[in-house]
Amino acid sequence: MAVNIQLFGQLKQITGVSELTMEATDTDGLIKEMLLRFPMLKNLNYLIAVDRNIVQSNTVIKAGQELALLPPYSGG
Amino acid sequence: MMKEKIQNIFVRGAISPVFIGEKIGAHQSKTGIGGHSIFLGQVRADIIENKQVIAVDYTSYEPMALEQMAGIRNMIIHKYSLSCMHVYHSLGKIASGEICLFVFTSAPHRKAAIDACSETVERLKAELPIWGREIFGDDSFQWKINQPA
Repeated sequence: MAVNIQLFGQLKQITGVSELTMEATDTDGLIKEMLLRFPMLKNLNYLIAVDRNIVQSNTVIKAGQELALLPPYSGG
Repeated sequence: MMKEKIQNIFVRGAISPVFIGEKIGAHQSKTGIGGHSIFLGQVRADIIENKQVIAVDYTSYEPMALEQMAGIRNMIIHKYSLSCMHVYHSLGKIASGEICLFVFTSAPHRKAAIDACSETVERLKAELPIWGREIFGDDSFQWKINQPA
């Protein structure tokens, strides 16, 4: 399934894109694809949000869900 | 679970002292309030490897940040029985010395207002998807890392 994922902060800066389309059925698969395409992200920390909530373990992606890759926060 | 009302907290550019003053003034009619607590975050001109930070450029995953903030707000208002609470966070490039965060809590008595303000600041720094890019005078930059306190 083709899924869209939004990138923020340092991830957006390093990849040069704010949104990507990739083939994935779950979040682990998505990260694997992502690292194949952008090996330079390998040593960076990030969290995955599905429908604006952080997921801590591998999660099945359903059609139409909003996905985002979030580097460590530094607001305030 | 009750669906929290989503309020916008984001302001383009710095938060002006006049805006802060007006927000304080707007509470004169709320006479049940006995204490306000205010936290203002200011962009610090850190020196890193002999280069000075001249601005921080803030970006956010806005829809998620606003949803998370609504949850924090709802929880804090109930926990401390606040009269009201207002949060503003800047986006875009904020020069060193300018205000980038304004947290304003009000309650009948001081302790609730102060504790609520402090907890809100800690939680929003830890939980809202907002990123700061520290920009130096020579146009180079580094990504900000939040300190524990």
